[in-house]
Amino acid sequence: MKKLKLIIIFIFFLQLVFSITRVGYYLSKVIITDYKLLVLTDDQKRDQIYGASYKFMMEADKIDTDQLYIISNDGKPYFLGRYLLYPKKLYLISTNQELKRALHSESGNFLVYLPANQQLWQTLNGSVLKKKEVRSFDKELIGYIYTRI
Amino acid sequence: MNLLMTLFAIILLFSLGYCLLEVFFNEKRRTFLAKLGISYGVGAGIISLYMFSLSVLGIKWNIVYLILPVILSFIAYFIKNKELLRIRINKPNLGRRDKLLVSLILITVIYVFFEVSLRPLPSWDGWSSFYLEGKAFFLGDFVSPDIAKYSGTSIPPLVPLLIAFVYKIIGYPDDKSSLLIFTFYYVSLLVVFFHALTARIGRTYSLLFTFILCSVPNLIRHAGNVDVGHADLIVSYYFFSSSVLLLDYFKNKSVKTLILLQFFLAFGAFVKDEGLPFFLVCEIIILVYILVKKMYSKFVYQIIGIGLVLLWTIYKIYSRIPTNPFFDNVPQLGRFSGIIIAITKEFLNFQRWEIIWLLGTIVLLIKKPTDEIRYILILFLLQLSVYIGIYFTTPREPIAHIEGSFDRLLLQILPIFLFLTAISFRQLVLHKKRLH
Repeated sequence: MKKLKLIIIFIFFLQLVFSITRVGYYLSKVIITDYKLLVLTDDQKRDQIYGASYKFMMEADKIDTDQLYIISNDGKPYFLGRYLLYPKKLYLISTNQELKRALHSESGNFLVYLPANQQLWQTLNGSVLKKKEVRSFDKELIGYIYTRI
Repeated sequence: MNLLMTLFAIILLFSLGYCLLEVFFNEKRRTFLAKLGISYGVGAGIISLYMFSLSVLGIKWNIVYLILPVILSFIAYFIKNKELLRIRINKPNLGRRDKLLVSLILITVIYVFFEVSLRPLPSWDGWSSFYLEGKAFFLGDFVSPDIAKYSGTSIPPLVPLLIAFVYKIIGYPDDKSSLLIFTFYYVSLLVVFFHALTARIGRTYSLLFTFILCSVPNLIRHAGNVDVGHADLIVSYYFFSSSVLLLDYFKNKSVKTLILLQFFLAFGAFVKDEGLPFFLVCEIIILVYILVKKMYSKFVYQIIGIGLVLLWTIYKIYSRIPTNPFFDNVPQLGRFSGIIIAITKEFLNFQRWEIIWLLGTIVLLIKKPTDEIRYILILFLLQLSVYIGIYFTTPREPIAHIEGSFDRLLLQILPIFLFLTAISFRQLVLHKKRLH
């Protein structure tokens, strides 16, 4: 029993050492890396945190519409876009049926965030919509915006 | 400027909570520190409840309506105490060890404040539910069930309402500065934790365990770092405060404490669905306690908590807000070994918890809590069982589900676990000294 208690006290001190070391690590992180975030603009920070989706959604936000549809293999642009674009409504298209219904609805515009389902993307390319490329801050192609003429 | 306005909003919440505590729940044995720790939780909970009630009554919010409860609470405080808000702080007489521990705690808290000021909303749950709804409530000036249907989530309204409240004070939906809501819950949790422990194990040990709690990597992530915006830290605050109030009630049997506990339990259920099983277990414990002690007249106060929780439940059913899908299925016992391995891995995840779960488990196995503290252990174990049970019924792939969510569920009950560990550890150490 006495040995067991000594082991517990040892584990407790080990945890305490970890905690103190952790605080030291945090302080070094502030000095070495985190302070660099202070000089960034809000857009730069969001670009760093959200990735290319942020630039894409900023472009999508410029469209004068209250409804958007998105095609993407990645869920992040959809969830992030729903938040960033609100009060514009953003809906995820994952089947050809949903896409056809959206195309026939006569309202709303379309976003393709790469990589995207080829079949859906081809359907969109075959429609009479105005297509615009969207590139990231690093000039990399990240997707397309399709607007109704 | 937005940051200052957010701080102003948070001060309003603190003041509202403090005045309400002084006017309706004033008890001489409750020290300033104890009041400070729960003021923010009371203020935030009451303002959310008030905003929700206005919406249910069809009244759209404006700044005057939102500040009205704060002004009324100030007036009530003034009438009762015949003076403006008075705060008495006795300068503590700290030894060298205590000063060192206080410094370590302060450094950690300052670091968290620094971190939270660096980034805009970084967390997935933040964008996909809490902040989406908060932004929608702010723009619409009321709680709309349509937004819950649009977001496809079933989150209770407290956090989105708090976000909307801060946005209304700022006048603009600034997600970056509003993250301070979470950091102040972190600070309040530390205050409640320290205060609850001090009376039981002395100041130095309390400071030691408060320091350990405040530096837990996963807690820091949720308080101001990359996971801030998830509501699990807020849940852990309400769970822990409720546990402390439950112990207070066992000790003093005061009706005021019981009523305050009912509010805290309901607020916990208003943050996330996990608050509901906690609420039920706690109410059953209170019920059993009342029966055992033959204090039958106290049953009536449980209606407060039940009524508040029913308010949200009925609204949810009436508005056809989607329900939580994780409880809807039959448990699949074939998942047992996979679930146990995955959750054990999480308990031992050093990057998130260091060795806290290991330490606490060993301590609690050797020195089981005694007296009323046993009820808190039961509460903790039942809540943990509910969390583990979710993975037997979840429609998702259970291992991926555990990897994506179990750390957040553990965070909700971490302060309770560490509180139990601290008390048992202190008793073990004391026992050791006596042996010598």
